[in-house]
Amino acid sequence: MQINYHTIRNLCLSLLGLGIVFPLEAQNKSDSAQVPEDVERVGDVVIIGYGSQNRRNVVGSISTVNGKEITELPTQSFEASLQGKASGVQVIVGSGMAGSASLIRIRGAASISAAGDPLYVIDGIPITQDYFLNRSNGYNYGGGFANNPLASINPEDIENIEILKDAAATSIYGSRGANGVILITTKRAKKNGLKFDVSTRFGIGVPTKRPDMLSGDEWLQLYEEAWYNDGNVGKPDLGAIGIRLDWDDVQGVNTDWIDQMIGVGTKQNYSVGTNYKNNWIAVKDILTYDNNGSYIKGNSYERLSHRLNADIRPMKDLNIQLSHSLSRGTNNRVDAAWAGGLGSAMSTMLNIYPLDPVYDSTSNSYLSPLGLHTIRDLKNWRSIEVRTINNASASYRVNEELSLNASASMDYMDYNEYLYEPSELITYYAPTYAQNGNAKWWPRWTRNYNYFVTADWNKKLSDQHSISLMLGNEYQNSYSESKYVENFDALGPIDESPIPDTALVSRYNTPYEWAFLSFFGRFNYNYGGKLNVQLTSRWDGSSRFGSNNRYGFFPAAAVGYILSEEDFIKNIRSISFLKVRAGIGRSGNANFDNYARWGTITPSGNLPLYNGQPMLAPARLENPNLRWESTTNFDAGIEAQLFRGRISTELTYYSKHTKDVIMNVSIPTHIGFGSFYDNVGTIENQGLEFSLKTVNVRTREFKWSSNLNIARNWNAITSIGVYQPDAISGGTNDTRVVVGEPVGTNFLVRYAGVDKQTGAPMYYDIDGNVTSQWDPSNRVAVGNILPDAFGNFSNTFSYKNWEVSANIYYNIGGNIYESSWKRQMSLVTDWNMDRRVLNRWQKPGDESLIPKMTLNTFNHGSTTPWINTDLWLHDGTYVRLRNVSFSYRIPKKMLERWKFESAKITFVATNLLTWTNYTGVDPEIARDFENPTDRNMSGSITYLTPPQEKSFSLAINLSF
Amino acid sequence: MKKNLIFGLTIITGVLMFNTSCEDMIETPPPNEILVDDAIKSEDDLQQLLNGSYHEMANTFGGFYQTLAELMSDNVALPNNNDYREVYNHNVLFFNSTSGAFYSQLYRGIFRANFVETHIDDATDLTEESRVRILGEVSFIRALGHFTAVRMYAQPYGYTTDNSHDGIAVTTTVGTTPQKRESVKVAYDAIITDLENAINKLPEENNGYATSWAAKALMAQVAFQMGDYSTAGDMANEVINSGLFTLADTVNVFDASASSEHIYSIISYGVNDQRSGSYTGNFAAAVPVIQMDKALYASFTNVDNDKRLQMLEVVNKGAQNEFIKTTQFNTPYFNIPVLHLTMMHLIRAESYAKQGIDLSVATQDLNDIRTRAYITPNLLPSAATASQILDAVRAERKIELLFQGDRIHEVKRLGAIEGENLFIRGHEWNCKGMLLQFPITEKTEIFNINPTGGCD
Repeated sequence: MQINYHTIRNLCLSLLGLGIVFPLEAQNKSDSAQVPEDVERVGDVVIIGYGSQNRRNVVGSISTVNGKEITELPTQSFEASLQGKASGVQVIVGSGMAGSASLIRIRGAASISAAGDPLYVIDGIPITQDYFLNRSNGYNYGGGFANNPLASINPEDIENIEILKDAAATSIYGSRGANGVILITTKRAKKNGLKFDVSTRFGIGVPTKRPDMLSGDEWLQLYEEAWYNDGNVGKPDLGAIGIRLDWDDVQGVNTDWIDQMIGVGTKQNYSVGTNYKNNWIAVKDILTYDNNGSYIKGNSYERLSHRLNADIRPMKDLNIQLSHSLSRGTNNRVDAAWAGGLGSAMSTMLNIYPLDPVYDSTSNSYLSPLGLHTIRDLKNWRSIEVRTINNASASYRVNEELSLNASASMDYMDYNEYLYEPSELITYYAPTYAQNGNAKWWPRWTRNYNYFVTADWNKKLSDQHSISLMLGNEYQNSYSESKYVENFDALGPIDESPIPDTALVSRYNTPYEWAFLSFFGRFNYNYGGKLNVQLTSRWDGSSRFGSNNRYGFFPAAAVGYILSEEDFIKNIRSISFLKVRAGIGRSGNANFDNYARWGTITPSGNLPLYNGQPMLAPARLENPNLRWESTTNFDAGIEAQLFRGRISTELTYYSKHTKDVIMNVSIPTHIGFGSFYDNVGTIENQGLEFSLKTVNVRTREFKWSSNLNIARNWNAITSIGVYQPDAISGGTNDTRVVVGEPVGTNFLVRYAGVDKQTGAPMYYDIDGNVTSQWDPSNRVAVGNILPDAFGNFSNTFSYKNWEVSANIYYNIGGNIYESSWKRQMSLVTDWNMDRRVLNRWQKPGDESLIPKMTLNTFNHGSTTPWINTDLWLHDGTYVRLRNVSFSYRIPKKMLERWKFESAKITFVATNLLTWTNYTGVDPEIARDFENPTDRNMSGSITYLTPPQEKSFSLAINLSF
Repeated sequence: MKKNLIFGLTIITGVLMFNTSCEDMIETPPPNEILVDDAIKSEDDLQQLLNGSYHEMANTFGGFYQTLAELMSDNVALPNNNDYREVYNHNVLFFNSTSGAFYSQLYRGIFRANFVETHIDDATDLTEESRVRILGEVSFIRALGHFTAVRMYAQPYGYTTDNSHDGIAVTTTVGTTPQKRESVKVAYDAIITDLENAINKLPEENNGYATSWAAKALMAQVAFQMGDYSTAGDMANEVINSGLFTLADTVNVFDASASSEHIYSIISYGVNDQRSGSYTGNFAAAVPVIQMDKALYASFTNVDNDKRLQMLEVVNKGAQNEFIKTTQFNTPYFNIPVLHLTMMHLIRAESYAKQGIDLSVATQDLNDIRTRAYITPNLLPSAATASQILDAVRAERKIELLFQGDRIHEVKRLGAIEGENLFIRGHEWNCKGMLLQFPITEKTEIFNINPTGGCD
């Protein structure tokens, strides 16, 4: 063991409770400790809320992910790289769309209508992280894609990510910590002198699996079969399902629309990092250009970003940190999922439609749809996000015991979506109508600022006892405005061509504003370098809380005991570090509608007249009792390092009891008000997390290390007040809130198979009797979207300058609900079907799960065509070779000749292999969500969701 | 050490003090809306809120209610619309968004009326006269809403002898607490209480809004549905005798020239502010969604003589795609009578005949209607018997109130009150699917929705 604990302890004691890290000093000391890379770095400084601690003394549950692990993978957005890196942190990587958002849940699901995402804090500011920011445009998920607020963040900027999981760690974030906190620290200059880091990466991307659709001939065959099954005679008539093409004309047409949509995405990334440091100033500058093309033709995310971080020490006791980033992310948009593009190729775009639409001169209209490739090529559609995140902080050490810190930050996001549809596109729908193009613009800007001040006081009372106290105050305010502008007589996109006033329609939307005012404190006591006690508390006031609940109080207490400091353990040579810790506390979730607490009236100017007279209408019902969700969190863990750091392991148990769960309940209609935010439910989560890092072989030239983690979470909703499973708005994917079942329960009619004689589908009624009638009152809880367990297993082998590593992510249990199957696997309609339908019932005696083909919903025992049954439900288990990388470090000797410090070439492949019983395109699903409830309740539910990307890339990193 | 602590705490406290004096920092009300406390200060504000309630009722009765009620009846053909088909087939699923939207429309109107009542004291300049009138209008809207809800979503009055069967939620206050499903008796009691209030409080004239005559006319209709023919006859008689309303010359009560008959109507103020869109959309298209039942049309033997039936048009006559539509709603916009004089004559005639009183008045009611309806009217003899009158009034009612949403309730009244064994498309008047289904969100521990599965 090379760590000198004495040094480290001194370092940590000097840092304990200190408001911010003094990087110039602390980082040096940390460096000088020379921690071997493969060992769990117990000597590390860990960023906690409003301060930092030595990892040894941390009493909460905090996982650290190094920036290198983030930049290693070419992902759509940095948060996808967190997958598998920390136990208990579930990351469902977003679809293959450029810039797509991943779904992250820390220790299960504890929210329903309030956003269930962790709180993201970058250099001290909780950033704008609303996935539905453009919702007021009525267009937030336009194109089957929701804007990802994290996509414009440059992964290259990230030094470290700390994931705060339990109350001991999160209660300092009070009403916003309950779903975990992700603290992102950006890179700062560390090494003296002038240094450069240059890197570049090139790659390609293809889908993990191609959707397997029926050819035109196959579809026609099924149509014909349905036509005769239904008792029709003669030549089948496509008019029965609204298709105007003649049966004879479409024979032999086999356009492969999937081929038109899917290609090979190309990726490139260039980054230059400059590092300068002397005794009083340290500057880090990072300039990165990234262009990530997805496999969907025409779709890419392009990011240009710059960061400048400076640390200035004008006098001995004053440290000033300035951080600035500016990035511009351009998403070249295409339609997907339900909105068109690849989604249409998987649904409404039958392969019997020719590439160019068929025109009918008698009716002056087209008989077949406009080609998906033509729509894509004609639409000029971009969302451009310019974002700057800035922080200035100062820390003044008054004396040995007291320091004062102040920090102010601003996160400004300017999001503009431009869509231009030229006249060629418009005239398809109305061929006789002559007009110029249609240009639309959805601008939105969000200004989000905060400041906080803290005072840190620490005192060594005696050799054995030391205490520290931190008190602080914070204010945060976010303001956002948006509008919608349309030019219906345009010759180009709004940002590129002049707008005549006569053709302009402009509508301002409701601005959004929210604010938090907070007071917090943390008390630490250390006894003999082995016992740590921590008390934290926070009072949060928020603009979102009702008049009866203006402030919430969030206390926590935790204790950590380093047993390995005791003689009876010290004598055991194999144990180099052993710590037990336990904590209990409360944190909240206040990420819900900004204005739900207010009782308001819509002014008459915004309403029509009745009887020639103006009217007023109640807009919102006041909820004076509205407040944060409150989670009481207990956490107990044991951390150990054995055999001189060859093995480090951690086992944690937690339980989370969440009450006052925010639900956007569809209150019974007779109340006269559609839906309403209320604190109604309780949710229980408990789980176990285990991680094991081992150095299996370590010789001079060869090393093999492994890293395994697994988390098991049990989740159940224990109350939803007086409401019924269907009362929660937003669970649009047939998941419901059911007492005794997990969040996101698949609530469906059970499918009883196909009647062998008639080919008709059968269902179970509520009592389990087989019935031929589909009735939604027979729905029961049949599955849920949450996995039973998930984790990661990675191995790294290095030999001399070569290194190979492989990462396997696995997800055990949970269900996949293939929502689009209801239109692909039962009735023959104007939808194309998946080739799995070919295994249908055809004649008496056939055994099949798929009923006989029909055009008429009554033949399926239903009055309504799109019915939901558990036939569409699949086991969600999968194992995925997430990434494999090969790298070669150019030997030092060669480098010296070119004056390089280090140089490395890496080849990375992602999503190479997937093992699953799921027969659809991809078992890892984060679809385009409609609102926060949907995001909480509809993970692992697919509706024409594009599969993930399989990528191959080559990266070169140089330092000099 | 102490000094440090004090120094630190002073700074922190200073910041705290600064903040606590700025509680406004976390008050961010929605910018484009008015806080309730600021919004309602004068009579004019109340009047505008009340107008918001009328607006909801206008959207309910501008053809929406009538379309759904007609779909349940034997007047119309199978529509080409999935939600409508469920209504037509008497098997409405709780996911039927049309039925759900109708229900929420109704209760939104009731909610807004309740909201006015709750805030009536917020207006400082309210005169006693206005106060009484506004409360009367609230009662009227609430009664109309509840009456429509109980007729559409529950089995009819008389389905059980004590009317203890499941009715609807009776919402008379503003709040978010889910209500229980009251019995039909409780619902009708509440409707009658509201109507009595409205009759007492409303003025006789009210610029297109509800009047005491409208309340009496509605009371007549409610009592008629309940089989309380005494009240029904009296109320209809009072309205008719007021002399304020006269039978129009036209047989189309939706025609602009028929406004003299309108006791309470939904007002279309102009082409850009019209409330007849639901009628136009469902009935007046080239190939309308709501077409007449062909068998019913074939059963009319007197088409050439009946001006009302001549408003029906047979399209593609004799062809496979033949259908029958009404031309009644072919004007771009029109007022929709919810309560009108013809209805009162029909109620009075039937109520008197049922009671065996004033048969000559009843006969005259019928003859007035027949005189207008037929080219060559076949009038009742002046000494017509009660039974002759009943037969005649029921035949005329079926045609007079065609497409006004009356027929389904008539079938149910005849079944529940008069003990007739009536069927619609093979479904008995009291089968379990012969009503609309509540949206599933209504279901709570204290609110059972209607049985599922439709009629057998």
